[in-house]
Amino acid sequence: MSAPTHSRAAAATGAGTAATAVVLGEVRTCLLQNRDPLATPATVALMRLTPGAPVSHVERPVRRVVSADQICGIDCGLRLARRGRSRAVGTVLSHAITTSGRVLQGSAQVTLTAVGAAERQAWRHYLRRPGTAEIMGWPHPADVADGFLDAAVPARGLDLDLASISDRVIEAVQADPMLDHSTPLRARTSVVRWAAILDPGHDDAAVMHLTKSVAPGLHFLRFQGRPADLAMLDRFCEEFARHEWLLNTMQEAVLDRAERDLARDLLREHLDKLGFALNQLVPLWMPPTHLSPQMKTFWTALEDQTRYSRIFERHTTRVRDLRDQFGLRSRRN
Amino acid sequence: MLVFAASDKGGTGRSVTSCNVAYRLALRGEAVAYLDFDFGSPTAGAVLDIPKAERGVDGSGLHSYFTRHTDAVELDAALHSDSDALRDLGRYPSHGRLTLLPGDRDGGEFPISADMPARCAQLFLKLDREFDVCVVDLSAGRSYATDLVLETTARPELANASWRWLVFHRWSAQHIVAAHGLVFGDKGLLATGLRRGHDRTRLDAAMRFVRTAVVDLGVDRGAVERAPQAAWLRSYDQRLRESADRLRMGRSRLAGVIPYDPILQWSERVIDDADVSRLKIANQATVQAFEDLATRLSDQRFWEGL
Amino acid sequence: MSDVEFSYRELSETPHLEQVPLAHLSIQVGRVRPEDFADPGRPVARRLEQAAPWLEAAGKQVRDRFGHRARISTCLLVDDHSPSASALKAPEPAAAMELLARAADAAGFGVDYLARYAGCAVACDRPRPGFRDRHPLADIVASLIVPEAAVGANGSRPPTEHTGWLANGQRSPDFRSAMDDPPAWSPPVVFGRERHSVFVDVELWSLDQDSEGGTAGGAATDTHTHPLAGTPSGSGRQYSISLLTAVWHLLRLGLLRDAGEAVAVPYRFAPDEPVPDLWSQLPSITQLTPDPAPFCAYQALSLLASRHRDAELAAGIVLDHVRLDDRVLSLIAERALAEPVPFPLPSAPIGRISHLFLDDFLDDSYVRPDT
Repeated sequence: MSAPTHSRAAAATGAGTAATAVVLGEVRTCLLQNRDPLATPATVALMRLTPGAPVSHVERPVRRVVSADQICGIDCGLRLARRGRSRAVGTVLSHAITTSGRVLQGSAQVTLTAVGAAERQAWRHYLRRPGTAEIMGWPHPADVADGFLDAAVPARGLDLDLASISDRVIEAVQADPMLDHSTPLRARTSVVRWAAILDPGHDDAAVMHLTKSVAPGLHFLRFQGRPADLAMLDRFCEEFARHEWLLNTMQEAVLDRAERDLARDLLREHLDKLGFALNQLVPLWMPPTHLSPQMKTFWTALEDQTRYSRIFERHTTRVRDLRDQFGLRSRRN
Repeated sequence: MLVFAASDKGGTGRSVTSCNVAYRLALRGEAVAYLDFDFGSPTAGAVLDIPKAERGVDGSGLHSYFTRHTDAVELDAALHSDSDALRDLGRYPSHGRLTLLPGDRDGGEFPISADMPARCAQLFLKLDREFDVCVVDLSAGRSYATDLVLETTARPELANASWRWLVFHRWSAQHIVAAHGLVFGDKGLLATGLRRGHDRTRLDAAMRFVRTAVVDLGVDRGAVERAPQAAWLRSYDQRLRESADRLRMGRSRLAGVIPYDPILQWSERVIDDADVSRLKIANQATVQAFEDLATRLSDQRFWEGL
Repeated sequence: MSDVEFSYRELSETPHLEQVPLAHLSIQVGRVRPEDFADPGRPVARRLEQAAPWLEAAGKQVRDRFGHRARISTCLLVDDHSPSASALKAPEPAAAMELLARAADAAGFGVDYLARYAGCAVACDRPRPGFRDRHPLADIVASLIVPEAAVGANGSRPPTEHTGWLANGQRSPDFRSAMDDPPAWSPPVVFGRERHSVFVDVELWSLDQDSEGGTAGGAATDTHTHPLAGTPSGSGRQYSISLLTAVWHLLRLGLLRDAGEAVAVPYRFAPDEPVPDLWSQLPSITQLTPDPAPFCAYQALSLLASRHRDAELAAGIVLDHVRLDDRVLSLIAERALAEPVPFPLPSAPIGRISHLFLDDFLDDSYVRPDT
């Protein structure tokens, strides 16, 4: 568990334990725009988004460097499933994560608590619990969660816009002059949008629903459990987002592309992409089962249904085959 | 790769040619973004037949991206276009994709403020992470949009990005002179670029011309009825060629020649192979010219050898 | 085979957080300019004389509550961030320190620490600081500020952080944004107010190229040239006294860190160590007395001339919009509960600061028909 995760978990489990909280989040994943992966000191410097802010980093099993939380004030509408809208006032936290100095993620989340307040309070009231926004009125938690996960609604409307907030973290990092801004592989940014209903009285097993959207590169994750599950869930979403991006990139940006070029005998231009995938993407596959027994349970359940690791292995083998095949062909020419 | 499509005058077929080239690239498997930087008249949505962006989109287009700091909406042509050709993109795994970044509905030209080049660089970098080719369709003439991209591409963030310029002009004496002025004139792209901090050699090497609505005397026999007419056309065509050569717009700078095709004069649209072979409403030569231009764009040797 | 209990962790995961020693109360006995020391005995000595009875009262209150071993430290803040024409008359720091010691003796108490305003903009722990010894405290605090969310702010646009102004509510609508339809004036909105609003707009910094900075209303105070050559962040900002006062209070409350490291740790000159000739080469905080209570404290009291009220009000607005490290806050709260006489700390830093504004008339050189 990283430091930022810890403090945010505290925000959700702290004073608001009495009532059910809804946590909404969004994680975007993309490639760091640099020719080579960054070494640890450079990554730590890159993740220092604000002066003086501490950066958390772990070397094993994969290098993961996490920026301090950024904070953004909101006072906006919340779309409710089934009926109407509500208003939330408070702050959203976001942070950047780099994995092995190669993959960049922007993660935003907000804990929503219903307090029944009719009027907005002084700003210091909201700063007391960063990352928390108060809902005016008493909407049903499920309506808040499902309203956020409604696939039919554009993520960037007039209501709460975590898409832009998580995007901004990524743009802030990618604009850093420390990067050389060359793109070794062009791949889609993938998005995981998640909502959790955290009920202190939730006695049954936690429930997780994962949905792949029709829109490419977009997944929805809905969770129901106890407030104490938040730290695990938060990390699960980031880990899932990274693995989903890896899998999708391997398939779309590497394999599909290579097969296409193979058919048109243009693979020569793509050989470096295959090498890139094998040398720099494959080692990033590291399911987070080591983190906690609970995480292991969830990841194993995910694997049971999706066979992610199995598919990734197959992709890796195919990429290696293509490289070997092509290697032979180019030597013949 | 960023491709800037510019022209000195309107009505050169810049947008329709760019859209068709973008389509050809997507057909070959490239991920292509089409940016409508024709801020005075954002109509790329119409060429791509995307009804919800026919005259731009409400409050989430490129105008808003620059002036109000909102996010720029991306419309995948395969999902949003009414054109059969574009909807078919993505039907086969061998296809790439074509994504439109439209302007705002009823958006107009806006002056460049100090933060816009940085914001523009951020947009280009972001698209460069996801797309193989970004076609940037610029307003005609010496516009704010042209100045903006010149300033943006001179920024250090984009030092490693590759970009190319296509300057469109009709095959007429007046258009040749105008296009020459746009590139080489006192207030032209090269001179302005130099002031914005560009390296002259690099910028100069990235400039190419595309001739549009060219009557091919060998093919368009029907258009030329009388012998004296044919003779005059032939000799005038020769004079235009000489003048283009003289103005540094000759073969080595020539990225493409788009033949005159009635369908494009009346309806600015994406032409696919069905329009040629099954419906027979477009000419094979036109499609071939788009295809050739698409090939030229990714031909490294062509862009190196001036 | 028996089960094992095994754990693995990396220390860099949870960044290190340095603790600072804490007194019960830190008393700021005044705010003076370097040139005030030039006039032997007058402004500085009078200021201390004026503070003496209040100091005693505050000390008694703290000792009554926490016992006779309660820790109380005193400090004097020198405003070297706002050079004026008379700054040239300022004596060298060594002479000033000597004069201060004599004046404090005469007033009947000791001044434990000498602090500099410029040392709040960029902190340094040692005299003649090198580049590595500097901590950009003003940059750090500026980045901790969370501006109020406007009604309708949904995260799609970046917060208006680059304007250099901070308000305690929502400003009146901008007229320039609606040229074709000039709206009727509407008042600014302060949220969570009682019936009537006190709307304050504070200038945090101006940019170097901005020549018009330092005018304007509200509690904005004038901005001043940065005394150190170049700000380390390269932000090119000239920080206002309002922001630096907020830094000053946060520093005294032991709440600031640079990447987990304690900053502006007091420095004591060895008896034979030469004191620098320039004010700008002093450390941020110089320890003057031999064994004082710690500089940082659970609570802070400032005894100030009433003309400094605006800057203190503005600093209060800044403090109300600052988001501090949760770990630092809870660490200090835990320590207060672990004291021999335990006590709960108010959660907001502003609740730990008291002010006492004293009249200015004792001080001839500062007489101003203010209010």
